[in-house]
Amino acid sequence: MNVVIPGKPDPAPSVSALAKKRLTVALVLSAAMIVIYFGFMGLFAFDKPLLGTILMPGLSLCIVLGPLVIISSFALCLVYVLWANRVFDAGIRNLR
Amino acid sequence: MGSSTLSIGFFFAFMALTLAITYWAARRTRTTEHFFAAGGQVTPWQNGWALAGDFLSAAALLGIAGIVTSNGFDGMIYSIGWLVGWPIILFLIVEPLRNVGRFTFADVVAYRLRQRPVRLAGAVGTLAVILFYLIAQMVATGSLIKLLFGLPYTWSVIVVGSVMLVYVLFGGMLATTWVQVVKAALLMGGGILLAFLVLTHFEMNPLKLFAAASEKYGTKVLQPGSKVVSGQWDAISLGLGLMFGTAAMPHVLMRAYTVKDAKAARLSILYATGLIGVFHLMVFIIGFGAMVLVGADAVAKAGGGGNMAAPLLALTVGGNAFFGFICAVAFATMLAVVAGLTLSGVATLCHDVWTNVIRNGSASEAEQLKVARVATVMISIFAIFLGNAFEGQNVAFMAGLAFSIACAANFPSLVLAITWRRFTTPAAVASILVGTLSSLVLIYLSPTIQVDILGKPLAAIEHQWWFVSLRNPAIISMPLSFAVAILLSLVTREKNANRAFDEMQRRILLGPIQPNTDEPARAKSAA
Repeated sequence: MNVVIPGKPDPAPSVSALAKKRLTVALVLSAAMIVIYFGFMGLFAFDKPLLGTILMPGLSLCIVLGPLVIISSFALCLVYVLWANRVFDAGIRNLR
Repeated sequence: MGSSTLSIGFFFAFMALTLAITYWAARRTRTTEHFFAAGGQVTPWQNGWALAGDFLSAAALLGIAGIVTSNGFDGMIYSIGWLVGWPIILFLIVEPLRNVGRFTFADVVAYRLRQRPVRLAGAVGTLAVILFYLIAQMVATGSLIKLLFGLPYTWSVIVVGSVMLVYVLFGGMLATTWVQVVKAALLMGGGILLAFLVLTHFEMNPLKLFAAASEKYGTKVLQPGSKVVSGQWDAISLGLGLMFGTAAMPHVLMRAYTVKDAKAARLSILYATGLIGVFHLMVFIIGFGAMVLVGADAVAKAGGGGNMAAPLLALTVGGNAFFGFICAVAFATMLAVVAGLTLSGVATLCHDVWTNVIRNGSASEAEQLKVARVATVMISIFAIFLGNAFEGQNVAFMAGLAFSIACAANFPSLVLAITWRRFTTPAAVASILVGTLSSLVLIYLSPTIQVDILGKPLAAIEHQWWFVSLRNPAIISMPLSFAVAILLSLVTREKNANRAFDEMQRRILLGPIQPNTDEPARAKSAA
């Protein structure tokens, strides 16, 4: 744990380590969102019959998957916020 | 429709409330920090609602409900696309934006780079997005108000333009924020109530509603079709534009500055994502409800290109009063969105162009506020003028174009500025300009302009060498913008930008208010 000493140059290694950690989490979660969304859009663009499979009266595959994309967007946001509030913010406090 | 007295009553109640808010906010708007960022004192919860209010346009309620009513499932493609950009804002953009910038996204792109060229290019990208989105909103507003209230088109545009002028001019970001919170609460409340009333007809079971729809119109309404989005790569390109365009919309990004720190900005995006997600699920129910309870033909016959689906459904399930309420909510929605757009255009003109380019970063508070107010009047007059000039024109493509430009011009430079040490000034400028121009050129050469607007037969142009079959340019313009940025960064060198990267990373994490740092501290001018 490094402490910023007023007037001294900042402890670059731990700032960049925390920055790297945040970027990794951000990139992994972004990649998950992109895979989920373009997986869905890929089916919409290239395999409409599959997406249109009727599962039961009143329910098709796309009506299951569409809201799931919406729900997973929120779920991923929640994962990030929980991580950031617990782990990342604690790391920031240590830097200060 | 005899219920227009009621809707006008609701409308005046909304106006009275928001003008009272503006009066209250005007007395608290003394500095640019207040005018553009509400003094950074909005809470995450308020900002979450305001973000939802900023982002959910009339198209989100009336437009998507109409598409669902006439095409079934396909309307949801837009709902999903407008939501999936929010996690990207949260993960990649909002915290660096909040900690590094002050009023605009160009603050962040220009942070390590040469101010003038980057801010000018950023202004081009931002103003192009805002201009097209504002025209699309004004024209939609004029025709919708004509449809809902019977007010002539020109007057509708003038009323909306003037009221938005009053909000922004006097109340700045504080009034705009509260107008958006009130509007978002009305929109969510109205949407949830409407969806609830629909479901009471179907034993509270959405599946029964969908089953009734497929019984009436065939299972095709539950399946993806190709009428709303035609072409395979066009669908992917639309998705790119919606996702990354949302993540770089200037009026959305600007709201990151209204809260006190990065953590609050983070939370407000989470709340906004939840609110917008719930709203879009409601709209899906509303669209199917209108399909079954009102009927697709009746909605089509009511005019407005399907936009009457939600109001007519309200009339059917809730009577005249509810119809009037939904119409007034639609009006409030339009007002709040154009106010947010105008404010972000004003921030770009005043903060980026005037203060940092023309005055080289040294303009007094009083001067900046004066410029901001002049810019507000200019943009409002411009919006009213263009809204009238485009009456009756098919401008639906302009909203899509705005998202495409945001995606190709703003997103690449923003992400690279935050994450890549080697990013340079020429790369940023070229990437923004290439993103803007390529989006414009590609859409001009596509059937959207050539066939729909210029009326040329598709057969005559589809074999021309210049013809672009894609209606959504993002799949070409965004990679192009990234490629230009990366290539130019690799062949140019900028020592200062390179050196400032560590300092920027530090600031992204720790925020601007640090003692004993040599950077210019965020001007926290007290009221």
